[in-house]
Amino acid sequence: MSDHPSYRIFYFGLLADRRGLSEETITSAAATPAAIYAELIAIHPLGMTPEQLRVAVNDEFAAWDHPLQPGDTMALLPPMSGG
Amino acid sequence: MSAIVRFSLSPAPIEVAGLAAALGDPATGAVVTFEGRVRNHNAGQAVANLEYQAYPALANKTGQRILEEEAKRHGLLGAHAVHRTGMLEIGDIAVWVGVAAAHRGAAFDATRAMLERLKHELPIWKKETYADGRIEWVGPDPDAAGTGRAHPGLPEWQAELCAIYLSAGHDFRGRHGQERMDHGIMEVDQVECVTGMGLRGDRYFGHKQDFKGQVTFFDAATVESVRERFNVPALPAAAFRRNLIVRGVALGDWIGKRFRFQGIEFEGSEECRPCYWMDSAVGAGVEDFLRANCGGGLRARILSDGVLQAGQRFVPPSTPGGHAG
Repeated sequence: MSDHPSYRIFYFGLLADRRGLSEETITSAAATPAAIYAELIAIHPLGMTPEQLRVAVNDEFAAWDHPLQPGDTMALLPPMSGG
Repeated sequence: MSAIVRFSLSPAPIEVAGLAAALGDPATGAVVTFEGRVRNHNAGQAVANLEYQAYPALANKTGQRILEEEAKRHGLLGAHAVHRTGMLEIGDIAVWVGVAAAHRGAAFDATRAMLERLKHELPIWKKETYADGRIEWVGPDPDAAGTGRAHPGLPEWQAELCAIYLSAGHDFRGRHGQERMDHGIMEVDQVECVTGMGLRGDRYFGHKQDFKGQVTFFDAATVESVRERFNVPALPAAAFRRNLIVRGVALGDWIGKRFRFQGIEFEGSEECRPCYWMDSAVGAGVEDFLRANCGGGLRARILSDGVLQAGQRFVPPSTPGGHAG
């Protein structure tokens, strides 16, 4: 497993509470945010579908099928509620 | 000359004194400022305090982008917005927006537009602690804006949806100097519109935040005039690679305006300008023809969720000068 690329994952809002932390480094063979999120929801009680979230890669909004490079950061963003 | 536009996050209380005075230049005739404060209730619950958590790297970029786009659209002379992060008490300022313009209309309109977009697009999350000790992450509040999203009085298009086209991939985008791709176009009877994302199954779905072309409209009358003008009677409407072929609405009238179509809310963002690929996709001269006739179609954002159905709910335009005009 350690041969797989590592990614930094950021959780915000409700997701950070449900995950119990706001960031972590994972290793995965998955190559898109969609595939990584599928792995994460399989092992953590995040309780939100990709359709309810947006995702950012390296601090820019990205598509769920955005191709990831080793070392990328990926942020999981629940519906926003500023103002 | 370009206006000074600045967005910032503030972990400390926002000091409003001096912010407004610093806006604009000697051509400024109107300054509008807005303070959003923490109120002591939300949805009938007594609020004790709240916390804003931000994703600073993305919030700063997004806020700056929103202000720059709205400043340009409304011709502002200056704009500044600040959003709080961290713990706030009742009465604290959560967000401050100030704009400077030559005249009041643009100043009011731009302030409102910036606020609505900041509330929905900034990666910031609000966590409320209620008087009884419960804690809750709050979702966006579409109803609180009044004239924001979910507006009941939006004009409804009295138009027919002739066809819906989706394509899973890009044929032309980013392929200058190369051969076109051929992902093919799929015609569907109905399609799901997802707020802020696009049409489910289409190549632009979730393309990027606040994308102007989440959906594209194209006039059936334009298809017919191209068929006639270029003597291609069998040209399929799908050849233009726009999503929704409609009849009975002047698309050019809806740039920068919100409307409802089959109950779903949209905001026209800009003309979908034809590009040189049109000539290879349809025929030589088509790009110029569409350009001269404002016929490239309308790009729009999706403001509410719902399903569009082709070939249904056609209501003929009733009176001249109505919504179809």
